[in-house]
Amino acid sequence: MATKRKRPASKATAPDPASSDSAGPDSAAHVSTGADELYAAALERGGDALTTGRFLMTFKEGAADAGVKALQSRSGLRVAHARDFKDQAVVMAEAAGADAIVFPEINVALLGGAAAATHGLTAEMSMAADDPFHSVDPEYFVFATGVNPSDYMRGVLHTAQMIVRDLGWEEEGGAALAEVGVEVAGVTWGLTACRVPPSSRDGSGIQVAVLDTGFDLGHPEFAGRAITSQTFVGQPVQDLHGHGTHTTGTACGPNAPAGAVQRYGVAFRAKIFSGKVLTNAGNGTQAQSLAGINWAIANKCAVISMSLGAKAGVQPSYTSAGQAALNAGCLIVAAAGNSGPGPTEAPANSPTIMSVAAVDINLKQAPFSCVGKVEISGPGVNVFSSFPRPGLHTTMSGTSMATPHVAGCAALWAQTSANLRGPTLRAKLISTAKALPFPATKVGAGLV
Amino acid sequence: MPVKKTATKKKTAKKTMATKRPTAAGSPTEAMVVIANGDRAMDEIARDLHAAGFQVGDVLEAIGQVTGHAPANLKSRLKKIRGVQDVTGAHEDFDIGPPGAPVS
Repeated sequence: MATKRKRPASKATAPDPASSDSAGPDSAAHVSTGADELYAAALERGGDALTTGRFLMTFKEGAADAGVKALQSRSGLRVAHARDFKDQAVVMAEAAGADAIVFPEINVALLGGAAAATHGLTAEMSMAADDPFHSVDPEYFVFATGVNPSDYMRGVLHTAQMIVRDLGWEEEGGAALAEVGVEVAGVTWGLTACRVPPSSRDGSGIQVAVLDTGFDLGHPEFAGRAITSQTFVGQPVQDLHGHGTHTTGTACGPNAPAGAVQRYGVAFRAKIFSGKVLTNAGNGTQAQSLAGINWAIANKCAVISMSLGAKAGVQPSYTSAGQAALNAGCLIVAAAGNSGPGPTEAPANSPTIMSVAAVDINLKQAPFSCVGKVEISGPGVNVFSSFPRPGLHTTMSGTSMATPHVAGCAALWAQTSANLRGPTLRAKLISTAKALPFPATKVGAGLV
Repeated sequence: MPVKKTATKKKTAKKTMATKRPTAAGSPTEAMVVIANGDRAMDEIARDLHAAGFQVGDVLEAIGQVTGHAPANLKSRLKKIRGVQDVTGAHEDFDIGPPGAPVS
């Protein structure tokens, strides 16, 4: 899904230009530049990457020809015309020498970023009453559902390569990028480290609750999946933050995402229960998280994943909720916290809740990971997973990312036996963890 | 999980027991969690809590808890209600930070 199409965006559907901080011209954004390249450049520019760096000039009705003449005479632009192409089927790449392309049927001209900057043809230009055009607006990327997600990955990789080149890391970074390229077609390092790919289990029949910022319910890689959702924060479940979509993806994402996207989800056939206990701004209250736990237990979820924490001592309410969960055959796993080397945060510090630390690709404890009460560790540095549209994927770090690895693995174990629930599931995870050469206060029993 | 920056911390601290809010009578309340002992029906406990001045938020049957607000000085009285095991204050709000935080 997602990403860009170089078709001129309709003004009616384009986002408010004022909301974009990257709506300026980009001298590299020629009319012939491909969408991938434009998008990679937009990502490099920063901001919200909604605009291409090119502009769209809208002519007044019946004034297209006059507009073209005005452009050519007043500004000296090299103007290509859609009529120059057979059936007006414009091939952008064939307009390499042009500064602008005119689409007479819709009274619009596309302006390259360099030409727009040179001639002052930007959204800020003032129009005279007798000008043949109405306005000049930034061109926006169009994000359509059903687009191959590999388009996005290509853009990301391309951007990464450019950044590495710019920073002079060519030699060292080149090797790293080559590894990324390989990963694109395989699985994430986290799933590999957790020995997920060889498993014949997929989480079928297991209900996994993720209590977080919600989920992108329209994410194309989850189409057809059983998703039950509930909000506890007064906002729709639809995730406008991204955190919840990422953690849900790790726990329950697809086995084989479309295109050249690496596998990032553990229990890919588990039934997802998405409880929104954190707002789109990323905050929530203890009462909201308790309400989420209550909901998940009432719905007979075998696993609850909580990638959240507060710097507080042991909370009796969480301890009690964790015990209620265990009694009901449900296991709560929670992030140890990212204030390391500070102590484990709540709710993970409750004895009835499984605390998850984060390790990196070298299986070393992440420096941000809290210490003290830690039961187990999971991959938590540079974790690739799902993200709300249009991005579809991103890489994040934190004990938040380690936690859903454990939740997903718990679902796989739960699938193997109906007897592995609650306390026995917890014991199984601990007994099968891969021992790591670090104190248990940092990594618990080891890697899930 | 948040890596809290100082600015965020301050903001969070404000919200914290800034879950304190005035009652109709004017005395500030704070977020509380009532833990039941399992000996009594939750709706009955909630009813008695309400009668005692506790502003009931959610009655969480599956975990045997009631969330809500009450003045701090009401805590000992609430603890004496039949079926109540404990009454605790809520911790400060969670804050995983805004979208795009480097660690979360």
